[in-house]
Amino acid sequence: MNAPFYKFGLFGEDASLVVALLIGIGFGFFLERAGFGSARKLAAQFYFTDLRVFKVMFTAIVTAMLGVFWLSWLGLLDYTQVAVPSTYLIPQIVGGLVFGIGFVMGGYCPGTCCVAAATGRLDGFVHLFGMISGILLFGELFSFVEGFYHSTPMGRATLPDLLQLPFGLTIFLIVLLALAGFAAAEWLEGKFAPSTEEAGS
Amino acid sequence: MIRQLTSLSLNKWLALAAGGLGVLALFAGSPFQGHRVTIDLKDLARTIESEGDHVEADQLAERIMLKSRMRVIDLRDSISFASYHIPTAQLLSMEELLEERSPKEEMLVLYSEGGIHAAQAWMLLKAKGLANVYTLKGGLNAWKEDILFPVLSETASPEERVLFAKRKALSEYFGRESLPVRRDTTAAPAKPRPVPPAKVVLEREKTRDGC
Repeated sequence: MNAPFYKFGLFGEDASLVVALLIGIGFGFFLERAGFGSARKLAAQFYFTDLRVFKVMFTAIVTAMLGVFWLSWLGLLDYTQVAVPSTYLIPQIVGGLVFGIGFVMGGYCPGTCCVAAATGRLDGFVHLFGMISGILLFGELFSFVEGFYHSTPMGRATLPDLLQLPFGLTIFLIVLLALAGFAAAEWLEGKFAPSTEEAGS
Repeated sequence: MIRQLTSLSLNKWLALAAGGLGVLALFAGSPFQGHRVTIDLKDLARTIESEGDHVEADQLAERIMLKSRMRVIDLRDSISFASYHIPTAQLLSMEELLEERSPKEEMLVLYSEGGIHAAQAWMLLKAKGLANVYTLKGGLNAWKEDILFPVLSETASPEERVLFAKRKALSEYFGRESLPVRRDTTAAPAKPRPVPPAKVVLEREKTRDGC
């Protein structure tokens, strides 16, 4: 059977929630294992002392990208059925800035604050409370921002389409960018990291 | 120290694997097996607007008579095809049509019952990059109405009479060619008769819906 399994009806909506829970637990597990339950480690990337967030996230992107490409190429995955959230350029830039400010101020992003709360960190709970309040507030005020929320729509925007590049070339360039990024990150860490060896796992 | 070394080599090993897969991706081509294309929407819109997307039944009939180089493609089901089809037509399903490897410049005329299916197939072939694709305007219904059973109304203008005379000649040609059972050039009322599918039977249809 071809992936995506849910789209091709391998399991129904109820079972999909169970699958989502399992994937969510896996996601949380790996965030915790990467050390992302600690706001100090997360904030360290903004001081270039520990760039593991960048490295983990870019690794995830490259792994997913190569997986989607090669599974489609082998005919195991129907890429056109993979959900791609629609792009709304300006609202999403504003949203990204709000996200970034929240990340710098609180030391967590939405996923990692859940991990921090689950591992009993108080600052994680505070952040989680702030996030849920924000979601509620946004929901209540949605009718006021709806016009802006749906402005500058670009539909299903992917890099090969936007850059008008062949798929394979885009993949190659992103992999190259990632490998260069990893090398640069290690170099930056070497330059900025404190001399005391505290950067274990 | 040893642990650091092994983890380092694992990192490097993973980086190498990612790099290798990235380089291979360069040569792997598109993961969509040629089913993803780019189309010039404006060009298509212009073609449709200028009516360059279809041929009239008369034009098609003349081209078949003159034995002009073209392929006529029937997109209906095989039972309908067996009961009647336009002479020289070839039966193809939508997917078979997509897989066909015909020369880019070859003239293709697509038809279905009413024309919707043919128009959809036209879009697909245009997207595939074929230049010389047309649909039969009005589909097989129009063919039956204009070529096989032309009607002259009593209040016809002189031009319409000329056209009718021309169509009558076509009708006789195509009638002889494909209608050994029944030839009818007058407006015959539809009389559904059960006939074995192997024999050719044609009934005038009042509606032009369906595809």
